[in-house]
Amino acid sequence: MSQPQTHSSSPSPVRRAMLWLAASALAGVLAAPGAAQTSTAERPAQRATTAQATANGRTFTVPFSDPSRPGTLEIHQTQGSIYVEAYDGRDVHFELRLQEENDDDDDGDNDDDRRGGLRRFNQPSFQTEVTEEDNVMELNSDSSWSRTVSVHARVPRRTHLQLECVHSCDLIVKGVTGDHELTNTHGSIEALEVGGTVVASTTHGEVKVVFASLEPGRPMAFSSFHGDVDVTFPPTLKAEVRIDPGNHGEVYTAFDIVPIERPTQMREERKGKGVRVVVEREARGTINGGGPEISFKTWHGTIYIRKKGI
Amino acid sequence: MNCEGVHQRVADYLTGDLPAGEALELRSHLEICEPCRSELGDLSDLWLRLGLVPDEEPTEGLRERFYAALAEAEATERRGTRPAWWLRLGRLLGPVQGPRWAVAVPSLALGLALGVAVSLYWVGRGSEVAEMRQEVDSLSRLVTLSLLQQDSASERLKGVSFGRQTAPRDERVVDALIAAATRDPSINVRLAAIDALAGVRPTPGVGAQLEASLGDQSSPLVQLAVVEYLFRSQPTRQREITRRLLDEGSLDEAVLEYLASEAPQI
Repeated sequence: MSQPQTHSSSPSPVRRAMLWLAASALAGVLAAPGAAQTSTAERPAQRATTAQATANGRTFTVPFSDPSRPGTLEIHQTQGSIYVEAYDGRDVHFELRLQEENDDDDDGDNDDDRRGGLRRFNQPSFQTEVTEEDNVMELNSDSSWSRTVSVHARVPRRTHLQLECVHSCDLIVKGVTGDHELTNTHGSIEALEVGGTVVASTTHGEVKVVFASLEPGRPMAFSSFHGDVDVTFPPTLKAEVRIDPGNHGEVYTAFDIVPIERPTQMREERKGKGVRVVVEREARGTINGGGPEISFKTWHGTIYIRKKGI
Repeated sequence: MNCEGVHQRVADYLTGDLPAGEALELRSHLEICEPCRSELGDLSDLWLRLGLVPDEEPTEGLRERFYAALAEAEATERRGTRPAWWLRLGRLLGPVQGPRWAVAVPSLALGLALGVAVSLYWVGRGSEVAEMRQEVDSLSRLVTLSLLQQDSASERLKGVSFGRQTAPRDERVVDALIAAATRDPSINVRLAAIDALAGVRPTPGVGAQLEASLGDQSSPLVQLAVVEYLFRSQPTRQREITRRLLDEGSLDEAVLEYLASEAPQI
């Protein structure tokens, strides 16, 4: 289709303006259904996955719908550790391992007599379900006290992670860049050489994060009720920090933190004859001139704010 | 090039102003997109019809009217400047009250007029400033509420930061912060929201909602933050609060220890 002939070498401004108005009006009318048709037409077809059994687990691979943009991996485990590391690929490779099996003989029978002469069949049996929709992948396994399954995943280097485990589990991430939310209850969180942002919280355990790179301008928070909070940042970090070491903790930092000038937060209560003055615990300051808010909080533990390379 | 790119470039394409490379991309898209081909067809038809509309020609009398107006303006300039209106006003009064009044009266009138004008201006500005502040607050509220709905915990933390600034003036932001403090999936966002609420003038409603949520707060850090908020917001009722919380069955042991340690001082 050749470019259409113009009316004259320089069409009048009025004529051009009327054409723009008409084109804009048509664009507005056609935009919504056109976009829907485009997004539908461009979504690639799902590829089939394959699953294989290993000695004490199984492996399988699941692709993201659109590998051209970072996907999100969500793993929620009641029991069983989670290990996620980056690799230079487009799919997510899972390996689920039976961590331990507990003899859960609560039916009252004496099974030793019934097992006599038989040997254990060690093929692990646990159900796993992975769903993926619009680049959000979610794994659920029936990991339990009697059958604890740990999840090992290799993900594309740029992947957002939402990982959570509750009992007797550690949560470990290596080398992944993205918007990460890491939550544990009885166990530690370790994120090494990660990039992007991290919001991490555990109740009983350490939070240890080492950043290879940061996404500028994004708030973050690190907290543990009973454990240390140990975070290493690039030397170029610019942030406004809020630090609360609880009633029992201490704070150590390699950065120069300039206190934010504000009236001392005091609470004065007059009760009968005396007065009680309480000075608020949280400290606030800026690093390298200030930036997004980063919060560090523990109740029983020490806060370490480290500078990479030191 | 996608449909949106075609929509943005179709007018330049029809007028022949689109660079060759983009024109080629546009034509490639048209080969596979029927809706865009149809749109181009409609606009091409319009373009041709616009070309048939004759250009506007000046009327016969325009030239004569223009030169007549120019001549009059030049004549006025040659006759010299007329005295300013306030001097003419003064001359009107001069023969009655004396020459000094010729300056004083118009000056007084001018001063009065300026004073009224300035007063009206600043009153208008004051209401303009109030309107602008409302617009800014409304925008901040929208940003806060939107950020608090994001999937990313970091974005929700940003929403709490925004909320910290507008909450003192906006009940809807306070409600959103209470929702974040009691129900957000992230412990860290809940902690940040409770801290943000501490900057708002305390009301019994906020404290009551946070206290009611204690039974659903599994994190001892959040429970402690709620307890500290209640103590801070109602300092004269700490004894009553402590007694009530000690009877609360779902508090973590560490929180109970903290309450017990605070009790002797109360």
